[in-house]
Amino acid sequence: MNIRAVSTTLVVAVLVIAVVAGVGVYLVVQQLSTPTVAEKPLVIGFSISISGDFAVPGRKQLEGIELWKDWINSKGGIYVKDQNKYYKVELKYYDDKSSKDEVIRLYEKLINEDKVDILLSPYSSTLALTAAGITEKYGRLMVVVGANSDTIFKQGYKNIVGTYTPASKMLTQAIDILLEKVQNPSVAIIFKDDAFAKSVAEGAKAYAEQKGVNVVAFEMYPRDAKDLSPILTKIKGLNVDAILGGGHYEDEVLLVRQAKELGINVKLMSLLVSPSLPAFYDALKETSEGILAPSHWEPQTKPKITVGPSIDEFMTQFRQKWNSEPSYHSAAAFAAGLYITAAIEKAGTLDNAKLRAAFNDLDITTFYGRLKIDPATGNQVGHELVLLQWQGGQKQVVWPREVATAQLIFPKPSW
Amino acid sequence: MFNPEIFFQVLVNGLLMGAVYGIAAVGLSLIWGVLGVVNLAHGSFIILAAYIAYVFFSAAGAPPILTSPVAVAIGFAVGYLLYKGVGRRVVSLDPSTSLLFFFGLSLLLSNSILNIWGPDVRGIPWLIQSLELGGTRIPLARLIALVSTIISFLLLYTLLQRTYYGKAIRAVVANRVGAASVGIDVDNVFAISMGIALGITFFSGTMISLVNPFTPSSGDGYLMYSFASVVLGGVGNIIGTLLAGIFMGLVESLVGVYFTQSISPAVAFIILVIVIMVRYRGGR
Amino acid sequence: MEAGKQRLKIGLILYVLLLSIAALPPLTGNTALIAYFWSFLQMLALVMSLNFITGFTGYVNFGHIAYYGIGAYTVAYLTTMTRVDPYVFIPAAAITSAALAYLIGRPILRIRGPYFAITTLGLGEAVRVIIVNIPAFNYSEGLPIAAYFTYNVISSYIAMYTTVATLFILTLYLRRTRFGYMLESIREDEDAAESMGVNTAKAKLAAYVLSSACAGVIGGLTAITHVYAHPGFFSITLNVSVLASLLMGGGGTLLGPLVGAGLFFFISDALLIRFPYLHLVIFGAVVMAVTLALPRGLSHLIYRYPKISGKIADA
Repeated sequence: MNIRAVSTTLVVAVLVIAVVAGVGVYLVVQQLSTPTVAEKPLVIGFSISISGDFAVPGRKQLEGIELWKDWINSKGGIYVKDQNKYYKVELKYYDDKSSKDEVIRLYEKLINEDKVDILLSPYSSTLALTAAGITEKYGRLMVVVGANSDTIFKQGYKNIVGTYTPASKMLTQAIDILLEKVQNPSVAIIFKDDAFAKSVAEGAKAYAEQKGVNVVAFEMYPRDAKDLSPILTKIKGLNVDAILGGGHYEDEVLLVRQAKELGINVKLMSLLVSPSLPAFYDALKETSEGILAPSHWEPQTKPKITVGPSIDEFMTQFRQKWNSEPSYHSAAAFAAGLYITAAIEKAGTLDNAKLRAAFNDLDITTFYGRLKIDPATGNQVGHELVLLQWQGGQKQVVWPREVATAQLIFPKPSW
Repeated sequence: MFNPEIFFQVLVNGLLMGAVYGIAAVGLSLIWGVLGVVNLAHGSFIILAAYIAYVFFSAAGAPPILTSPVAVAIGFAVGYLLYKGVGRRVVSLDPSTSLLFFFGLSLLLSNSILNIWGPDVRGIPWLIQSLELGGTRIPLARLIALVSTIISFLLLYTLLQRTYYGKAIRAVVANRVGAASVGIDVDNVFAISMGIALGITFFSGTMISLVNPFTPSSGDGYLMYSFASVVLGGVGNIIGTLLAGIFMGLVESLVGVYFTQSISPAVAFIILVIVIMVRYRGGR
Repeated sequence: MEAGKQRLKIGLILYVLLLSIAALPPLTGNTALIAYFWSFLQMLALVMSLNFITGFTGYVNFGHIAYYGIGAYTVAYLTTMTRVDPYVFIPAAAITSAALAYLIGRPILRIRGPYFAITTLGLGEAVRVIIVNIPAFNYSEGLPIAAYFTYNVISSYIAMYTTVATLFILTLYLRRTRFGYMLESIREDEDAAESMGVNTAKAKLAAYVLSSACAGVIGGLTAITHVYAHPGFFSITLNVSVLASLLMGGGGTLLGPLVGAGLFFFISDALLIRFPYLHLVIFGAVVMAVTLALPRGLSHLIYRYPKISGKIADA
């Protein structure tokens, strides 16, 4: 063996060792920086109305969150940078019986006893306003979903983030339509004795007056009213172009039914929440023809998605899991989950204060639509409503025109 | 400026709704008058009957007016069996304790309804139409509810006036010990009264499903109206109770149109207090 | 009578025990425990305050909640107006509630039995409806007060604790004095009491005003803890729950409210957490079973088992 052969062997050996060592070190380093799965899950806590007045939307909202949990866990969970870990998501929720007293106690419990990582609000403005008082006390972030009364965001609370378009804007599109179609329109605004309905009605009144619409009636009806003929009869004599307002489910269906029975024909009638659900049509059938209502989301809309599943994916998985159709409550709840995920990924931490700050610069578009908050108040400014109308037993999106699935029927056909 | 057309409409609205309030309260009045217990679960029974009507409508397209005899039969059976089962013991309790029993029953019933039929609002879209009579609209479904209410009320009245059990019931209301001493089987009379009372309550539930939408928690509102009607009309006095219901409907209608509907529960309360003060001053 | 004395004795022991145990949570600094116990003390305080009218005189009161709500609104309204620490307005809550109770109580306490109960059923709703029609109270939205002071869970707890201790002393006082006996004689037979020279109208009114003023204080404290006064305070469901607790425990006694509130609170809470969909169905069945099995309230078990309870009392 000559020197040359030895040196060649040496060089080869060194190279081989170097490569092996290099690959080895690379693999080890790689191994070290690969995020691990956290042993404890990330817990999202909230109370939700499974029984009581808000059970319908409450249960729909719950279904949306549950689906999001499954979806995010199937993707491996949420990545938290400062711990370099993937967190699986778990939900911790209780029935608040649609009662404020329960909400108080349950949020104290969620925060102090269950020690959940992130809080979602209960459904409804009145319950969310109550819950916000508690979460704010402890300086905890709460993502408000299913609630949009402007009052919630006017309290100077620093740790809330909205996902619904504010209540004060819920009837502005209907007023815009009226202004476009009718000269000097007059409207009657009627609303249930309830924090949410009052907030919508006041917003509508302010907007209408600002635009020069004549608000000839602004009336509240009791929350347990079983007969709305008094308030309707009062309106009948005023010959208004439109009736705007409502409250929740039982009262809105009654409102439509009695408006027909009393023969009150208006060019436009927009309610607040009930027409978005199939039960509205089942309870009224052809009497629902031409009734409008704002909706935070409808499956026919086609936003340019930057985050999360497509509408079709969402619809398919929802139907598979729950064997029913999602409503905007479900979609918004799912989107709230995506919103939280985006904020955690941006902030890289679960620290609530930093998360809240991360929301300020976040501007995402999910299948539910765009989400962006006003940094000062946390109120939602990015999300847009659509207006839906019942036409021949189908729920159609009629406004804004870019996303419409059908032509608006105007004026509303007479009963 | 007074508009007679609107005024007439106001009266019609009030009468039509009031008749429903009135018939809904009759069962509560009977149980209270005969058995001496206050049925806090009354509202839940009303809504249970509305759901029964809803089931018949959605499964077979049967309007509530056809379902109502079935509902009456179910109501009678439920009442009779409830008394035979636990009612005897409940009647022997002191009034506030029996109230607690019915509170438990009402929780059980309304939450069972919630778990069976779900929380969605239900309504029966049958005959959402009205007649026009000289500028006044008369909703057909409400008119049918009024006519059926009158017929069933007359039947009930005849039952109480003419039949043996009716007379026995009235005897027990008047004097329980005396009735027993002349050989009336008080226990059986109680069971039958409970049956009749729940029968008429179930009937009113089907009438409510005919005119109004409802949810599992709608019963509380009807319970309030029923209590007010019973107290205004007199406990055990079924004619008084029916008329008081109509009176409540008229007051609500008048206040709502000529003042504001948002305040009508407070007005109703003040009237109630005044009437009770005058009627039962230092009474029982 | 013997059993009644034993019950008083057991009641005393249990309350002293409760007040000692309830003094512990703030020391641990565990805010979950504090908040949980606060809810229980609030429920207990409501039951104890209702006991003064419903328990002692037998007047079933569904309108207790009206004064609870008035107390809450008094504190919240004054806080938003003056921006002063809300605890300062607790006496104002007591005075407002007492004054209104005096005005409303005078006419309605003439009504007796079930008629009284049904009349009061509309009271909470009537007050609520008037409040939501008043612009100064922000209609149906109510008055949030979080922006006006810094909430502190310990002070909120101490305030409720003190209230329960005060109610305990008041109950003890009623159980021992002529005034208490007068009230009990009304419950047994109002006409007989009157013919024996008891000024029943005055005694009833005094009990009603006392009971309502306490409700006002509890409402005020609750508004501070909730950092919010809203129409939801006038909740007939809460009133019925408080009443049901009192009846389950046994009215007119020292022991009854503690036993009733304890059972109601802990059973309904345990069910709520375990059965999110069925808890109210089960709870309804439990309430029915309790009334059928123990019609005189749980604290009357002592009548049934005087020997055992005697031993507990002596221990």
